Amino acid sequence: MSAPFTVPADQLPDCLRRDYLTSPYFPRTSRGMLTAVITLCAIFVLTSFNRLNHTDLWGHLDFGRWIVQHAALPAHDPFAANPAQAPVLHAAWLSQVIGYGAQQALGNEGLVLGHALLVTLAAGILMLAVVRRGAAVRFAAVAGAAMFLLDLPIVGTIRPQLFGQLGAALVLLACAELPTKRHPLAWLPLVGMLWANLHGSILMGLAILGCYVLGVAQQALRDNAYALRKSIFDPRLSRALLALFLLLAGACVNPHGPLLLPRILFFGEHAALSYISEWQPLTPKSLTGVLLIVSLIATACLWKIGARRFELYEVLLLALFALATLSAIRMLAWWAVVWPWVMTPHLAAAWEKLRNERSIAEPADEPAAIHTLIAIGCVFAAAIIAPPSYSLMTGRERGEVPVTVRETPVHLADQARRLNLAGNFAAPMDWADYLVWTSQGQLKPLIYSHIHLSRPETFEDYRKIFRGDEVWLHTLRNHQVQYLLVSKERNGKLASLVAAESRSGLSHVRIIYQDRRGMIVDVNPQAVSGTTSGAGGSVLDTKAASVKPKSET
Amino acid sequence: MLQRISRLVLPPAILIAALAAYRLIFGFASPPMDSLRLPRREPWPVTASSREERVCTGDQLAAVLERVKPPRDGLTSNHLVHALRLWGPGAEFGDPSVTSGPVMRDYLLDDRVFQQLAGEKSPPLFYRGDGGVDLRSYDDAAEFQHTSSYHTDDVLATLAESGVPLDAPLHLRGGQSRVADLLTGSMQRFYLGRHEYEWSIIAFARYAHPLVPWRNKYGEKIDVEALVKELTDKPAELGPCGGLHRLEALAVMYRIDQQSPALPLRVRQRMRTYMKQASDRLVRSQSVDGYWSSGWSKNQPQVENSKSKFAESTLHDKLLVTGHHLEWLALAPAEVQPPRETIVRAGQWLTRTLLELDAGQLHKAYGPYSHAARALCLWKGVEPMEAWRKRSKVREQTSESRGQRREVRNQGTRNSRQICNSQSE
Repeated sequence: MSAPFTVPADQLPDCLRRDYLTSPYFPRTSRGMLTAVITLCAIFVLTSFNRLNHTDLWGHLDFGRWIVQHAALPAHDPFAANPAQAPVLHAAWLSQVIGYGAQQALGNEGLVLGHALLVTLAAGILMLAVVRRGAAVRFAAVAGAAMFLLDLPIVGTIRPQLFGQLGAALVLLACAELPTKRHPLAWLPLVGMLWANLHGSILMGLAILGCYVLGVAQQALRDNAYALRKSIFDPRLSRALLALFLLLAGACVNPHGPLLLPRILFFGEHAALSYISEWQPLTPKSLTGVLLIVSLIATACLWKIGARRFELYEVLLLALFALATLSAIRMLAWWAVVWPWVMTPHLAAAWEKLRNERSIAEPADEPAAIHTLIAIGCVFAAAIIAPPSYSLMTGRERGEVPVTVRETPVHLADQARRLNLAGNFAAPMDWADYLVWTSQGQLKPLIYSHIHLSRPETFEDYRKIFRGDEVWLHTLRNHQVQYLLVSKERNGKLASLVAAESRSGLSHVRIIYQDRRGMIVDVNPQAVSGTTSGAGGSVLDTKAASVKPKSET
Repeated sequence: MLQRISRLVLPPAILIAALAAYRLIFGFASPPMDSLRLPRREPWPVTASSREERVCTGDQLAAVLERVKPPRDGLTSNHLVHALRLWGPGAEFGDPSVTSGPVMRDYLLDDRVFQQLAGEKSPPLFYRGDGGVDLRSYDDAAEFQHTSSYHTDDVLATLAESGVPLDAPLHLRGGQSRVADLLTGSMQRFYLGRHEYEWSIIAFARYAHPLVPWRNKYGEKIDVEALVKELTDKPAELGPCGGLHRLEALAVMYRIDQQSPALPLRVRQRMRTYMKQASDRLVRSQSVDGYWSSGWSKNQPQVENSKSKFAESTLHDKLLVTGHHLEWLALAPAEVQPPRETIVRAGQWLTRTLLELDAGQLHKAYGPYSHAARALCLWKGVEPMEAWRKRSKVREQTSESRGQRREVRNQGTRNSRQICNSQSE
């Protein structure tokens, strides 16, 4: 055996040792920054694997299309078969228009891409906010990852709420910057204005900033030996109060003006919303419950380690949003943003404490050009791995089914479009939005996911129908419903009743299309022609045809 | 300043260049999956795999065929599809009141002929939709159901069975197209989980074998394995005509693959197993008289007594099930065939019943009965037109009488008794 051929590094030829990358013309990146980039790329890719959800996304796009086509905001529900005439709350009109624009420009892939970009942007801003709070850059990646994990139960659904999360991250960035910088005062009004028109969660931004103001007030009082007058004129408090005022002022620029805020506050009082899972209280056994509990345990551990003092505003933020999440699952969206912002600096401090105690050396983090190159490589890889960016880049759209979740009634909607169905229809609530979307609003749903716009009695009738109550057909006729769409998987009883009624030969209902998942039923069929009046001199016999059961041909 | 600009611009510039290069290299390198490839112009023919002379005599067959000529009145699209399938596009009956083969074929290819038969007010059978050339389905317009396509892609499958090539012109109302457009449109519209898919699969197999995986208009990938799964994964009797067209589709696919092997071994094995299981069940569930009825898949011998469910089966049901079974068995590969006695008993029962059946009843259910007549022709190994012509010549020579017909019936009864006796021995 010969000895391995080795050469000392300093004896390597110059062509191998030469570093062409390191140059004043090429940026250098630290390991911490590289980690942050990799985290953001991972968030982008993972989010992009989510398909378009079948719930209220299509309803929002319906509104977006209506607004663009009419160049106005609808005063009342423009889609429902029997609208309640309740005024529409225009808290998300801008995101509806943006969503519609993205769909028109880039198709459904554009929506998936927008979703991934929005989540990545929110994570990026949150990471920046954490760094601005004094945590090392490498801990920013932890904040981004924590946000993504806590968001898991809801991050898969593209909806205006994502803009709200972005707004929350921006307000938290402002809170992190305000002690030392004034620039948030310049852009906070814009954030407030956009947020109030993008999603009704602007109250969350005000709550975050409100907690911050209280915390700063307490700091000012403490630092000024609880002298009230002196504390009021404390520049930190003045700045925080001004920021809150500017955000509020910005939020008042919306179609409803300042009245938007009380209307949002009482939005959740519609009785039908209690049937929507995201409006229901959190249960410990759900994923949301587990994530909240785990994050609370982590909070308790870091509190016990006590490496960094908990400020009042931090405690207020944690308490407020933990209680809010307990009351309704959908509030997890804000917990997912607030918790990493509050806790990451404490985690960084705890790590620092542990490192000092055990005398662990701080790893060297010299910026290097090769890290920049790796970061570019990561972004490139993310772009070609993520399905929407790959599809748009190569010009190969995946099609409707691979982009949408399985529950989306793609095939039934296509048949409804092919048959050119128009008029009132009843469908499972989560199907209805998509059917309105694909029929260009020609089909009018009895109930769709914007149930806060419906009458409570209509919603009760909807439940009767899809439970398969005895009065299902009568109820449908009462509402002048022409078509019924039934999910065979979820409305098994109703599907059986429809099939039995259709077979009865009484012409009460007619199944006009069905597949393994569902059926389209004409609830008010015209009698099949038994005469030759429509056949125009036909030698084919309509009478014979009308009595022939299809199943026996 | 230049350094700062360079530091800002270089990373995104490198990224954009890399993405552009990737698009150039991979974006155009491989063709998209949704481009359908049709390797042949002519559909694959599938003839009977076996012959069994004893199912009926030549005279009996001719008499049966005489009864299932295309109906003179009460004609529907469904009648024409079935009649074309049975008689073929070359059929000529020498009687202007009976629709000829070329007219039946042109009814499905040319809107002018369609309008002559269906009436000018009838909506066209074909139209150009957003997914290519499409057919007006049974449920599209209740008023014109009789001139519609009764089952999804039954027209396309019938054109394939009739040997109509893919480049045959399709005269639409206000436009021109080709049968190939109808096929590609159908392949684009096809998805797994449809209520009716049997005729689609028959058409795809006959026109597009070997099937290369494709993406439909919804972006779903469809391959031959998924199609076979669709045919074999359901309860045996689920689907139109008691699920029996699924067996026909399997037999057709299998036989075409025998002519040009392309199916993966496991798929072929799966098809063979499914057909063999069905065939075994048929042996077990055949009635003493030779027929099957719905419930054939339950593995129970059908003994006529007042308590069994079988006793409730109508004659129509028995004819439908027995006719369809004999038809797919005639096309099925030899290795899945039941014993010949099973075929002979079923064939003779079918012959006897078709001859005895009231004309009105026969007209009402022309479709299923045409399947039965086709089954007999396949087992006899004769073309229906040829068999019927022979009979016509004989009829011209000798005057037909009721007694003659009774004799044919009696002959059938004697034959079946002989078979039963030989079995019991």
